[in-house]
Amino acid sequence: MPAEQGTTDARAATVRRALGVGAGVAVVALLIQGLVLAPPDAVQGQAQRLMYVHVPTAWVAYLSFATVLVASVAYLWWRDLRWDARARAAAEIGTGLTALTLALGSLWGRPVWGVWWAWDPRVVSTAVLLLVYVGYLGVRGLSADPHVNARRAAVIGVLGFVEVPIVHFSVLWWRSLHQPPTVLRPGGAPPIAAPMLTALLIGVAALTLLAAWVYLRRLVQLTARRAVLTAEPVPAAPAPIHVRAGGIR
Amino acid sequence: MSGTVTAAGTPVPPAAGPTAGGRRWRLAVVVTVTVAAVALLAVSGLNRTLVYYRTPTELVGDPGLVGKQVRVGGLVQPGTVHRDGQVVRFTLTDGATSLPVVFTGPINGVFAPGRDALVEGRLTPSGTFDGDELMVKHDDNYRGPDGKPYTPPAVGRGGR
Repeated sequence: MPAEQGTTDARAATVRRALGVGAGVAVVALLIQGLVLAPPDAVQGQAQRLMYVHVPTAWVAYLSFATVLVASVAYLWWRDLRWDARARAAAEIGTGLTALTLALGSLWGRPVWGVWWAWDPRVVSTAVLLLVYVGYLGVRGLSADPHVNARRAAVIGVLGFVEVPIVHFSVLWWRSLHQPPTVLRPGGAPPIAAPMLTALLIGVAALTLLAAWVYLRRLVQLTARRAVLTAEPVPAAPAPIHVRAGGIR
Repeated sequence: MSGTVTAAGTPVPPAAGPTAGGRRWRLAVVVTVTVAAVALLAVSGLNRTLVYYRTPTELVGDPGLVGKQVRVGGLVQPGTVHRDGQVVRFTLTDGATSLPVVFTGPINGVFAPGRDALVEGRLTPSGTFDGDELMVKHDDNYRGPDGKPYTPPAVGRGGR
């Protein structure tokens, strides 16, 4: 078994390394396409280039929370803490990306909309999304029992996912300052110039690879930590075969 | 320690956390606060978020809104923008109603005639809108400075 585990570990490490290299290449490609090759927007100017990171962080956050949903259901079904670790790693990444989405949106909003913040449905629902998954991570600390924490988190991981479609459809269901979707739209071709669409897609690839790389590395960390916590402690000294006279070691 | 030898390898349970009663109290407080926050948001805040702005037709058609702090959005009619120092006058339209707006303050966004704008302020009895915050709403189009609308390549039906 140790030999097999070693080969599996080596293969997993190779996959992680490949993802890391791929992510690095994609980021370089994104910088070139996004900062140089794509033109500035006719209406928004140079600030529009933030879109090449802002939109991918939002989409990969959705993907992360979908992962949380699947892993949470799997945990509730099998009560296997490995699924809980997968859900947790995905939630950590999704939460970070959602915060980044809001920050980049704010930076983009100031020169284009004219304001750093607006209580419009898209911005508010995204902030709610962030709070939901911060809550997901928070409930994990309430109990001493990892299964209790995992169960509570999994319930939030399942119910909280409803916020993801609410965020996406907020600009279609309600009046908002934020514009409706350009790519994920109900009908017709996306009204976006080709070099800009290319930059956006490279951004999606880069963020996805980065997130996958971080996810797998985090899983290794969580797995090692769980192994330490659940392993039987090694005796400080070999158990005596005979108890000496008096009975005290 | 006692004379008994503990079985080697028995995991020691971690130190006990708050008591079950204490935890239940904490949970009850958290749930109550959360429900109260959501209720508060639903009643007061959400209305200003979900109807983020009125159209000029809606604003002009509701006499109860005169003098109230409200947000109105529409197209900045080309040819109506006049700047005089810090004061800018323009007309906001939704195709049916034209609303004269007076805004005093710095313009921080990509404000220009022919683009959508949202103005927060009050409608005066004379029919002019007194704005104190100006936001620019841009559409979902992205195109380079040549300004040509994007035409997708003629392959199939054009993807999403």
